[in-house]
Amino acid sequence: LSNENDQFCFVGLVPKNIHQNAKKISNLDFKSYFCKRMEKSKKDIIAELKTELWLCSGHKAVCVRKESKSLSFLLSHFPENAFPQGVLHEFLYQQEEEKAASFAFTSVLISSLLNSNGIVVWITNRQLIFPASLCHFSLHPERIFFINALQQKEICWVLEKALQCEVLTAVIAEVNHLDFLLSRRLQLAAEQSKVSAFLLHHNSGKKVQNTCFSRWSVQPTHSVARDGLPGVGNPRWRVTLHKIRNGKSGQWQVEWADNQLINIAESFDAHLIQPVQSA
Amino acid sequence: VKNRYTAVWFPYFKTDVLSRKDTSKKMYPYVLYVRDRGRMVISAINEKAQTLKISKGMLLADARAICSQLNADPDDPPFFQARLNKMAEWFIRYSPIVVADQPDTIIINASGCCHLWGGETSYLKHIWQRMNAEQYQVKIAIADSTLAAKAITLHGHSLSVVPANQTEQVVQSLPLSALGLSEEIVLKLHEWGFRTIGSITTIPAGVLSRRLGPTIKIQLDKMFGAREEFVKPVQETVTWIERLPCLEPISHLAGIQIAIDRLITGLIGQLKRKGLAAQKIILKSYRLDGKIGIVSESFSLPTIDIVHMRKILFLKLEKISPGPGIELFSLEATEVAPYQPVQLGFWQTESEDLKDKKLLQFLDSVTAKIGTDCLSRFLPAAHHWPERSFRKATHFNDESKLCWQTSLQRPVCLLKTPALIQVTAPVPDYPPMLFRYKNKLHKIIKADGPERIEQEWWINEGLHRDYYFVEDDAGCRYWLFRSGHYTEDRKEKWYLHGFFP
Repeated sequence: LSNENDQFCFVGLVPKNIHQNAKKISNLDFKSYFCKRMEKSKKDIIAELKTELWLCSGHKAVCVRKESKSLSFLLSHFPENAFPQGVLHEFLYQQEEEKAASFAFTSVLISSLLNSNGIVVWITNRQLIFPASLCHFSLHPERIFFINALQQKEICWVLEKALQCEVLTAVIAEVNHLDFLLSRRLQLAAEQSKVSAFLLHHNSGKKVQNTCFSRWSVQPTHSVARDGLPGVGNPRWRVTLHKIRNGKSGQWQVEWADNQLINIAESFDAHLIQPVQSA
Repeated sequence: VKNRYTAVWFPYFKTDVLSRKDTSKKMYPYVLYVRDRGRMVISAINEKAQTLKISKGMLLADARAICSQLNADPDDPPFFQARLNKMAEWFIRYSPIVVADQPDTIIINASGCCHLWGGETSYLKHIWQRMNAEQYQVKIAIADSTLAAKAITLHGHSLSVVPANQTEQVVQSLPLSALGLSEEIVLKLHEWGFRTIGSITTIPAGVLSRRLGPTIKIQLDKMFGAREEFVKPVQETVTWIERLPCLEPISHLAGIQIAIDRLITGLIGQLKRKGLAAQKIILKSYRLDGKIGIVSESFSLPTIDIVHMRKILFLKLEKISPGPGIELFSLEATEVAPYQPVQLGFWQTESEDLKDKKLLQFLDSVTAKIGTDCLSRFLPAAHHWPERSFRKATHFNDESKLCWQTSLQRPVCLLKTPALIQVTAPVPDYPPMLFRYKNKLHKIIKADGPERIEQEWWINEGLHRDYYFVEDDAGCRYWLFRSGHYTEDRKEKWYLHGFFP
């Protein structure tokens, strides 16, 4: 948007799918609409309008404004610098080790960005989660319901039912198969209840096509023990954000220490980061 | 309300059971025998055999002398006992309290049941017809006491109704054996010239009990309904039950749904009046062909929510197969608990009660769909052994006084059974240099440990485990252990037990 010569007009490309909604805006009296806002700074107005445009284009995600200084490096990549709720987050993994790391990273996201005291449903597929270990990631294991579903059909059924239950904070699930149709269906359920879903998708290098809000992968990397002592140090992961709607993709090297996620990529081991591979 | 008892006596129970499969047996004399001290003694007969004056207790050889073409099979008492019990269960459709009186009688407590079948006579007729259709010969009687009803089936007509308070007149003429006394006492009474029950009721009770003990008085009281006879029903009666007999057998989905709706409304109404809520419910559908379909359901917290209960039962609709049609539905609440509106305890979230209910409904629908074992919530347990360091929560509000042990490193993903790995470990009590898991070689770079965890000898005996927390050259972290000590002669075994993040 530009406001040269007191004339307001749309600049740039308008996404196809907002044409209908855009009509509603064009019917408004633009001048009076903006005059009210002139008192605010230009930057604020543009931010507000961006939000409006975003909502017009069909996104119903609600962002959590939970201030977290230590996680600001992640938050800056999210739309509106806040963690979106009521959407699907997909975590790709190939090996068991990556799955464990993804589980831990998911727990960190839930405890530090959503609600560490909330009720979580964890849908597993023959996998046994060691409950005590989740305490290390600030989750309360006794507030987690583990549901063991063996067949893909059952997993999907439970997943959808869980996403319709708005009391829950988050749903974590292991899925073997996540296509466009299924992800859309789950997205609709999540949108209504504002429950976030973290789907661990076993993927053997195939191209993925679905409507997940964000796509991540988490790989364990070499740990460094404190003060050069021998032994294994705090858990370290290479976190890759392959895509996120209205946000920026990125890659970090993080360490979980003293109940905080520390970004260590810039400070050190910067050469370890590989170019982003879009799936 | 005066108690009314129906006795159904199967005079030829054992032979009837066996000749149902093979109708040709009905046409000829047929007996069952047991081996007794090297002889074969007849234990059951059919009607044809009785007309030939073959009786129970006769030797098979003697019976063969009477009728050379006698069919005889060995008896199997436990089988027939079980069969009578099963039969008694079938009779539950006539009344909730049914007793299997071995070896060949079924007693039904018909108090307050007969009017549903249009009076006592048509009640008995209904039973009679059903039994005849199933090719069982029966004699049925209804009276004020179990003993009277039993006695009348033995000595009276095939269908007899003793009107209330008239037992005394009716049993007057019955022989003394109908009282259920021991043979000794009966013989003595016979010696003294008493033949019928009527003849001893005229004598003052004290006179007989002084000579023959108190049993005569007790049995007479039981006969006239003055003393309750202890009976053990085949199924414990459930107080919280709703029944729905159907005029026409139901075999379509919409009908079953309506039936469930009505049962739930009725049952919840019953419970609400008493301030109770259902924890476990069982839906039974009695089919025309005698099969009973059972659907049981338990809730995470006691509920009186009609909509919720309906939803849960409808999830199981596919498990109800109507077959030729369902004639009776029953919904029982087998476990009830006092209803408490706020029940969430430590679950209390910021949201209102209404929303919390949703969690319970979600959990119930999951267990109804997939099964109760699939849902688990873990609480800390006072054990060091990794597999036993947590336990399943027993109920929704289960809380543990213990804290989770966080001082030690534990993996996020645990293998249910530790996987055997091949290792190269140079020095005893040091972590291995490399290990091979699923045909992939992992070179260990960093390691912590060992952490020795001993078996709890009071639970299980076995080798201790020495755990190592290792990191390989790819940066992946694992939990390995060696089972037992290093010894020279035995090859020690190494396992992979979990994945660290």
